[in-house]
Amino acid sequence: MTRYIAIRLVLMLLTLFGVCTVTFFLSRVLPGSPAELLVGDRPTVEQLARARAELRLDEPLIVQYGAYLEDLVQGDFGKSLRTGRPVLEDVLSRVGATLELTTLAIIIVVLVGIPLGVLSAVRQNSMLDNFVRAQSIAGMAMPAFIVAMGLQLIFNGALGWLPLQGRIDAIVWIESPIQTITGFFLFDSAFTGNWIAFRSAVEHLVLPVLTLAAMTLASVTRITRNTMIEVLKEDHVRTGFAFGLPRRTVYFRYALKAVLIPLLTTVGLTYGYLLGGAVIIEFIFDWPGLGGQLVFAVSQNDFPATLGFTLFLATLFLTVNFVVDLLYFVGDPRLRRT
Amino acid sequence: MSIALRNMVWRGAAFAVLATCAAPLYAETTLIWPTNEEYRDWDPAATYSTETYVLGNVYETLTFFENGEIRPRLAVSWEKSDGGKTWTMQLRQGVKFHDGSEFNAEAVKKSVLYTKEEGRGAGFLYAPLDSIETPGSHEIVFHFSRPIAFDLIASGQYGSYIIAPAAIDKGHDWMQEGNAIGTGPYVLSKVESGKLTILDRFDDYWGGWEDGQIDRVIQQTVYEPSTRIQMLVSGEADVIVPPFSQLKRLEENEKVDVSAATSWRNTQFLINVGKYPTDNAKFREALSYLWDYESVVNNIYHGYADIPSGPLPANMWGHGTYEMPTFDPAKAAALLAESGVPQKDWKVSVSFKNSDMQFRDAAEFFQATAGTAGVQVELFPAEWSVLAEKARNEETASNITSMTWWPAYATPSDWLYSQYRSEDKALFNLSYYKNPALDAAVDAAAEAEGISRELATEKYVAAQDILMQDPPAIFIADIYRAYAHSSDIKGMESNLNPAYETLFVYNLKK
Repeated sequence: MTRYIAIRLVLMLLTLFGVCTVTFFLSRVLPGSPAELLVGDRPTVEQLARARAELRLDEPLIVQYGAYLEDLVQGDFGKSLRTGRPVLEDVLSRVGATLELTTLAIIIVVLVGIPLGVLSAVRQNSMLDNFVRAQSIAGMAMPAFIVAMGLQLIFNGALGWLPLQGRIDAIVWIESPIQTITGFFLFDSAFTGNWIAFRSAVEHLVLPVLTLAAMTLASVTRITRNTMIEVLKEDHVRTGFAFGLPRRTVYFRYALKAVLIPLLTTVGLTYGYLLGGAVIIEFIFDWPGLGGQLVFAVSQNDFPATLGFTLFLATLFLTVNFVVDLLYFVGDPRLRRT
Repeated sequence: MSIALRNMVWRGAAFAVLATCAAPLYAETTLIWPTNEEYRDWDPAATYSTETYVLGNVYETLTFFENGEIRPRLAVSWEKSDGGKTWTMQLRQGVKFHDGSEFNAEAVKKSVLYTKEEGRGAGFLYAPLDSIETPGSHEIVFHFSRPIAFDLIASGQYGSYIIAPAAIDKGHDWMQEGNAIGTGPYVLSKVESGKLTILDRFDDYWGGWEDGQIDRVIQQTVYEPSTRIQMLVSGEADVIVPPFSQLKRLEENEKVDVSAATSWRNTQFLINVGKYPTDNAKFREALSYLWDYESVVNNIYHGYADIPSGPLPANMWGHGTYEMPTFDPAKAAALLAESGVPQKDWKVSVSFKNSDMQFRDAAEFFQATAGTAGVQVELFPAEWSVLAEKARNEETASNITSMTWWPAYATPSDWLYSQYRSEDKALFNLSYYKNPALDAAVDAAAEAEGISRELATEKYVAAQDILMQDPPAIFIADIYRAYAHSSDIKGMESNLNPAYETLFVYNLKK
């Protein structure tokens, strides 16, 4: 197992190097001058020339890449041309927001999607099953921004229950600032007993988390249902029933275990997808996460930020998949023996 | 029950109690101002962009331009001598910087020299500055190498803010982190890049305070325009800058007022005079008759713009007024035939800034109107960094490039010099227009600014007369500045001064 972990880690590093290389060269060959972004709206000729020199734009690409890698291994991701701040600082100030949003969404997806898929499978063609299938199709077909705006209209516009945007009320942020420990506002505010901030954070999380969960709930439910239906036809399930075991024990103890491995893959990939795919949600709810900033960076030729955010998201994605791989060992004893 | 578990239960109970309490309320004199702007250059010597929306509340200028006149601000009086090459200013007494230090002539000298020496933003405005003397604690003398209108430059929204010596000592990087020490009515209390900016009132402001004035400004970054509108309509926000397309709808809302007036921003489609077939004067003229000026202003700017009367906004001093082309496809067809350009070559490329909805809609509309006369228009939307790089290279430049212009300070030269004066390498003269007569006329007018406004006006109009003989641009719109705000906010009209893009919060009451 140690060897397996070591190989996976080396592969992760190689993948990251590949991502870094491809992103670097892609961002440099795209049209547009990053110097324009550095100097602002109305530069003089001298200011533009100075910016080009500062960004080493007149040097060969390979030399630029070498310099970038040299800085990178020292933990220097460069400065964002758009915000003027170190990229790492920008990433770290936003990663908590993205992780909190996506983690809560995936928890909801798991807690709701899996039981719903199991129930749907064991009561195949019932009213519940039909409802779940219809909901799955609707969930997959409905664009996320429609769901988001619909929720905003109902819970903010009509009922006035929940805030429209942001991660916390500005006044709470000023009067009762959260002491950052993990970057997860819920945890940090609860841990420090800052209940005013906790409440504000909960209120702000509800709509984006529900929207994000709705984006992926359908696929997890559907995959659980389909896999479960196959497993329910297997011999060991039939044997369980023949022995007179309670139905709940057969479904959740014996059948669901067999579903676990493909489900782990699905949930892992879904979580990774959410990390990168939360962009629209971040835009609509003005959620100060990584995705929205990456889009700005790409669209405005902010190549240090593009590289930094891409590398960070890639690292998160690979880490999640690595953890999922490790969980296979927990879920499938056969793997531990090989 | 363990102690930890008991604590958790108590905390949960406390939360439940708190959860039933009313939502936290903002003080009545707090202004909530969501915006999609992300600020980067907090150093006033470096900024040449939207930071001025905020910084104009934190820093002040020596003079102030209002209703066509220069008025006192940090300087109370001034006089020029030596034919406009020397300017002596008497400074306001009793003014304090936010750190409590005294505002005086030495502070002004240090600030102006810092802006010049940094060489960023609009620092180039001080290029002709030779030396500064401070004969008295509140008297300062500026010596320039040539006549300049320093009273105008000193009122500018870029490069003219007076920065406290302590801030300059701490340096550019310190200010860029969102720190500021000015003399303005508000202190920059908190900056979280791309998230939040907070201004708090400066109690010792020399202008004093009255009841009802805004004590605190909370500017949240909200990218989505529909969210900003919803915040305003629901009462979560006090003021926003909405898209033009939404203003009419907001005007109908009882809780919302719209304040709008002309600005010094105008838009053009610059026509490349060096590229075939727009190198042909008749062909260029034909294009100007294929532009439906009225429809663009009424339907794309939704009435929040005027049809231009020349290359300068009609409310800028020194502007000329000209008979402008109108939408006339028949005349355009005649000019196209007259141009001698074979019909198979009636093709033009149009590059425009894709994040500007008005440019996008106007370009698509032009594509349709030009098509009726047989002119094919190929559209190239792009971000500014892409657009600028392409447009500044003669090989890759399009026939037509979109441009929005606004001045650093109250001067017609900002348009005429930057956009139409000959350049060896294109920077903002993206029509590649080269005319020695115009160059000489613009230079003469700029120098006359330092001598007399009347003389300068005469010379600027003469320069525009030359330009308008064969205008290298389609002049699209003189744009309005518009705010939508809750109807209980008073004083917005004083924020519609075209010379400044700042929302001067000090003038507002709630």
